[in-house]
Amino acid sequence: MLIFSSPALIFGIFLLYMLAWDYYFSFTNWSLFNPIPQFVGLQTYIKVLTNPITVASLERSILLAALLVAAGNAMGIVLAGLLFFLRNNTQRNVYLSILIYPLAMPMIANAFIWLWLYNVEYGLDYLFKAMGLPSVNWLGPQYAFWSIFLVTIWAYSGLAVIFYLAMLMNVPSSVIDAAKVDGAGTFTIYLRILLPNVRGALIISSALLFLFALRIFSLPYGMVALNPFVETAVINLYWDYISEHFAEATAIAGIVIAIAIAVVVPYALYGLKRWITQG
Amino acid sequence: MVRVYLHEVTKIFGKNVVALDKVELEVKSGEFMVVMGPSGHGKTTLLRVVAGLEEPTDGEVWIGDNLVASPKKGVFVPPKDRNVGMVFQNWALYPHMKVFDNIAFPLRIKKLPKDEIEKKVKEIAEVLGIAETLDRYPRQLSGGQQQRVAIARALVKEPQVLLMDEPFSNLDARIRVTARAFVKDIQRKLGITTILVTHDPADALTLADRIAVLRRGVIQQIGLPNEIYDRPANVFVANFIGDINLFEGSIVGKGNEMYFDGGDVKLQLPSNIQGIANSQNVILGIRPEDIVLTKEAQLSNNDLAYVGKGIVEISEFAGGKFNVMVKLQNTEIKVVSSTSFSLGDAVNIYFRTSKIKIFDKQSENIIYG
Repeated sequence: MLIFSSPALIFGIFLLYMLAWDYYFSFTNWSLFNPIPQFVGLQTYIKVLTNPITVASLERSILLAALLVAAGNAMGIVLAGLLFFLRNNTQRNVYLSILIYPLAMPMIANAFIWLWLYNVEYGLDYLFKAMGLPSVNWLGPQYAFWSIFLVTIWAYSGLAVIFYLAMLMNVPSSVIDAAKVDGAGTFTIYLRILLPNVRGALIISSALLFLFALRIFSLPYGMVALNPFVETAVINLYWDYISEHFAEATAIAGIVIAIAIAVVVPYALYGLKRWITQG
Repeated sequence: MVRVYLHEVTKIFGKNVVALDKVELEVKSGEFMVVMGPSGHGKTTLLRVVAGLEEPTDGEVWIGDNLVASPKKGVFVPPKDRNVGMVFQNWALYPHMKVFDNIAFPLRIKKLPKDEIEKKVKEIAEVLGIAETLDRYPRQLSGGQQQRVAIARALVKEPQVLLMDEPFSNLDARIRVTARAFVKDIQRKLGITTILVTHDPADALTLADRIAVLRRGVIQQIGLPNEIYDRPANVFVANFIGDINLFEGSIVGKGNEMYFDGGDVKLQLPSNIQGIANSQNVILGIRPEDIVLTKEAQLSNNDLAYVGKGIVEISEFAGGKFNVMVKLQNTEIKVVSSTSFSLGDAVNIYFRTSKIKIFDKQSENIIYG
């Protein structure tokens, strides 16, 4: 038993040690100016949560996560449905590969691809100009958040598609046949027979998309770097870290971790309950 | 009620997997047709072609006066427009719906008014004895109840044709008998044209008005249950529909004095026998219950042909009868007997000549029986 559980134990202990380390220093005033950390209670948290830039970055991260959960699931449901009803397996594999391709690439590479696409001279604007549409300052302060959101959809929807498609493939084909014989058309079958049976995909895609969006770093950093008007929580954290406000950085990390846990634990419990009750 | 007619229906999967090969089958209006055959020999494909879940490669499918599938004429009516009810092998209930919603689903698709749906669902649930399960989920039901829900769902829309795919194979042996009686009863009450496929001869013999036997996608024989059992078209059908002893040998003699010589098994054939000739190679078949064993002196009865003296090897009680294995020199013979024997008993073996079946050795088709 001990041998088999040792990898989980070792990683678990390491992870918990890091967590404890982070939360320990978040209650100190450790920074460039206070090289010897002193315990200050909740003072660092208060400082962080009253800093408008940090609060804005946290809000932005949560908004991005919520939007990505909504958009990612929607894309997953629509695209997985289209792929599922494709008769041709080869076609399905080709389309699926294209959809999950961004996931297989480093996010920083995705960031640079879109940096070019959002370029005012020769990216999407080139097409816009050709079609006579007004040019958009994609990565300016006004639109940067939405431009980045668009890229996260492009990058992460494939994940939801995989989960939905896998769950759809798990629905017994006889159930679909039964619905056909009962008189249902393809759309009705998808809406009323298939989707209610893929709730597992909704749970896992929502949890993962939320986490990916919350901790997102390389994508926005690669596209807009350190811009206080559009930065997300982890970039803000990174800025505190490189400016050697260590306690503040650990406090932001603590908050992000707490949000992640608050969102994921109920999902995990719900999933576990379903798993146990339905075998 | 309507008839179902398959005319030279062929179904080929991929390049060369022939599931159905020129199947010609007419199910009369209100008839209970059982299609039998081993697994993977095209039974389910036949049902799916009738339901519209598969498109035939060639041939025509008629439901009533409607041509529903004909590749040559470019006709294919999808399942939703065929008005057939189907009971699947694993019942295929919608797992996320309660029993009521499962049964109501076909009616909701038809957009019937709410109160009418409720009335119809309750009616059919009453008939099938599942009224008290309506607000449960399928996973909370027993196998027998799930099957009834599947039947209710198939029947609630008052289909023209009922299709059942191995409906008893997922049931316990004990429930199976009651379920069979129940299905037969429902079918008779509603008088609905029914096609049931099964690999179990017991299903076929008890339920069917007529039986069709499929082998590798080819119909071997269509007939009444007793016809199929007593006069099987070939060795395959004889073997598949029930236990049978088969002996290879040749015919000796001519006219009214003909004998079967199978080495160990030798007997005189009935004098009225026709269609066989001296020295023809044949297979002789006789079912275990058509063999008589006695310990006493020889019987004399016109219908019984003496075969020889054998030794009882196995005699096991099988509920009201005994399954006996007798060894006649080097040949083992299966017998169903009403009396028990002890191991090692020497017994006289008689075949009922009226029940003997003779097949041609080459074609395995029946010559006499």
